[in-house]
Amino acid sequence: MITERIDFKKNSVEALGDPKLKKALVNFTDRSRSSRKKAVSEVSEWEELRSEARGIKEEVIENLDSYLLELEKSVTRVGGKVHWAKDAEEASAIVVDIARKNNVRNVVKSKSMATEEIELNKHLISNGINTVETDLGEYIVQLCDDHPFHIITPAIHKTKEDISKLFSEKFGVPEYEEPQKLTNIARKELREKFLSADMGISGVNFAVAETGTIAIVENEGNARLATTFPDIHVAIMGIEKIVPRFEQLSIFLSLLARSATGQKSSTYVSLITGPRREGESDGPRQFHLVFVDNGRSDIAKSEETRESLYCIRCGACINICPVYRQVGGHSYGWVYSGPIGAIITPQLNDPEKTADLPFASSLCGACRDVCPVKIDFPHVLLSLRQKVVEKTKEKADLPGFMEKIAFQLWSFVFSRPFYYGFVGKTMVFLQYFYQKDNELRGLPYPFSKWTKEKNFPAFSRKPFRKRWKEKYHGKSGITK
Amino acid sequence: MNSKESKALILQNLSSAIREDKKMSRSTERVFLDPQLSIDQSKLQDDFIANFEMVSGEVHLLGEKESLTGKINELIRELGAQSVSFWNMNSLKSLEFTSETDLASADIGITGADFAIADTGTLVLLSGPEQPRLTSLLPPVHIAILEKETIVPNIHALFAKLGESHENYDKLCSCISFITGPSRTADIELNLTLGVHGPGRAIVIIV
Repeated sequence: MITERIDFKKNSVEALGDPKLKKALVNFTDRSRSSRKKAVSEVSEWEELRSEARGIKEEVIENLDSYLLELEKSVTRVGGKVHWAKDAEEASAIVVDIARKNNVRNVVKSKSMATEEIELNKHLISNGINTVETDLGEYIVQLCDDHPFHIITPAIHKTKEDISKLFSEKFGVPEYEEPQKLTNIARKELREKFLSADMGISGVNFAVAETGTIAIVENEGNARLATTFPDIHVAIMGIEKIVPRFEQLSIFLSLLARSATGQKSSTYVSLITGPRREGESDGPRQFHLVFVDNGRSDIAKSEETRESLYCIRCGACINICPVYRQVGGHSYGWVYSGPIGAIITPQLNDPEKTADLPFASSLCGACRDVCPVKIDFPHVLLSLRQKVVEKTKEKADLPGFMEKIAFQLWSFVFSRPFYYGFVGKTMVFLQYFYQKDNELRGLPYPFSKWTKEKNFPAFSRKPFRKRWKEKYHGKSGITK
Repeated sequence: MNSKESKALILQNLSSAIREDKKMSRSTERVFLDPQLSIDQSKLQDDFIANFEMVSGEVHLLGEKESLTGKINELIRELGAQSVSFWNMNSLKSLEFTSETDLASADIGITGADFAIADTGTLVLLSGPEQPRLTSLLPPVHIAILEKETIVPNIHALFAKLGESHENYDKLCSCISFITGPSRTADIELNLTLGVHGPGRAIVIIV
């Protein structure tokens, strides 16, 4: 839960001042963008897959109540148990309760944004249950007592030197810098945790209503271990994760890996249908599935923003976002970052504390273009902005009033060629004291609000319209 | 508040979200995207090999005169393995080794593969009493024996096949595992490393 107001601007300024982070972000976004592009270009029917997936999601969310009931029935039929949690606290309480009833001491977790959202680890640990993240990135983040930086690659803000130092401190090993050696150390440490765990917790990528199957997608194998080795498997899912029919998984699995990491397929996909069956020597003896609402059913009510629930958490929008590339994941102040964070965080939390986030976008629409389920991010962002503005209007504050006047003035000048030309010419003289390198800096109030953050391009002595006229002597200048 | 009350609350919230007469109707027809079944089997095998090798997997083709048992014995010796754990399969009955029951200490796990997907280089393993899940997961090396007839063109074709073999999905096994190469991560500065949790080597023998 968000306790303090998220100050996106302040967080961004901090992030921008960190050169190491900047390098990591550029490197990471460049690589993930190009590998995604390549993987997508290999699929000739990509657009059909997107449309198909979008259509399925539209139908699912409109009928979510009946699909949840169908899924519950299916899970029960194959020997699992479903739990319903209306909010974060209840979801964590359910898991703690399952653990207590079964005398669980050690829990291994695979990566799940839903469990980050409900702060499950905190609850388990405060109830005396050892809980270890087993995804390498999440493990590193947990060892540093930090938060994930990205939904797919949580520790991308840590350098190998950071990690080497961390492992050396925690495990008393030399400061290896080769990533493969660091990985081997983590394997050894975590393997012991798996072998002594009595409960495994996972997220859910997709849940199939008709069969009660959950799909878990990963590269490391930690989710397979966490869902196979311990006697109890608890899977946590946001209620929007439903896919109606089993064969529809082929569409979503095709889209997910390529969008997320640019792989044709992730290394491991597990389709789990209930606990182990008679005669089987491994797999959990108990299977629990926790439905987490935590604000999602409220999102379903808004026609303008309902599509936020179509998200399959691939992270493509984050990787493509020019804002994320500059300010990184922690600036968004909660578990989801980038464009998906900008639309989900305000809808799942107190809108006043998250009012900055819908504005953390240039509305360029790159996120919409890469989204595998075609979420119209700019549309949702504008709708959320409108809500924020309506709230501030009630307060009738001075900055809001000034902004209104400024835009009215702007609209007046820009729609009248005479005034437009006149203002331009006047500015050439007025700007004299503030001009440097063809830019305006340190303007007086109220324009200082602009120049505090960025320079304003200087007004040209010879405006564009005049240059155009001179060059083409009144001709249109458009070559045919 | 108990789970029952929350259930009622969530369902009520959702059913009030959209007016009943405005809802899209639920479609019930099964739709399979193009399974490209016209592709011939030798092309499928080539594609599978290329894609599996692209993700650092290793492939051995069993020659016409080679015996599977001989090939596996040879591989085990090459890898210097002390203990091997394998599925109870007819083709593995005459191995020089006995199957290690403690999987956590086995050096190699040998399994079959129920299907494979050509265009992603993916093995598909179904769980069952004779097909434990951990054999392909705990040991540092996984060897899978794949019959070339079971390679399908793409994931859409695979789901169509699973529908045939599992009575229209009514009788799904407890776990279907898709395996595309060895375990990998890029969590440390995007450097690719293998074997982080699952096997660091994934070897397929095509028969």
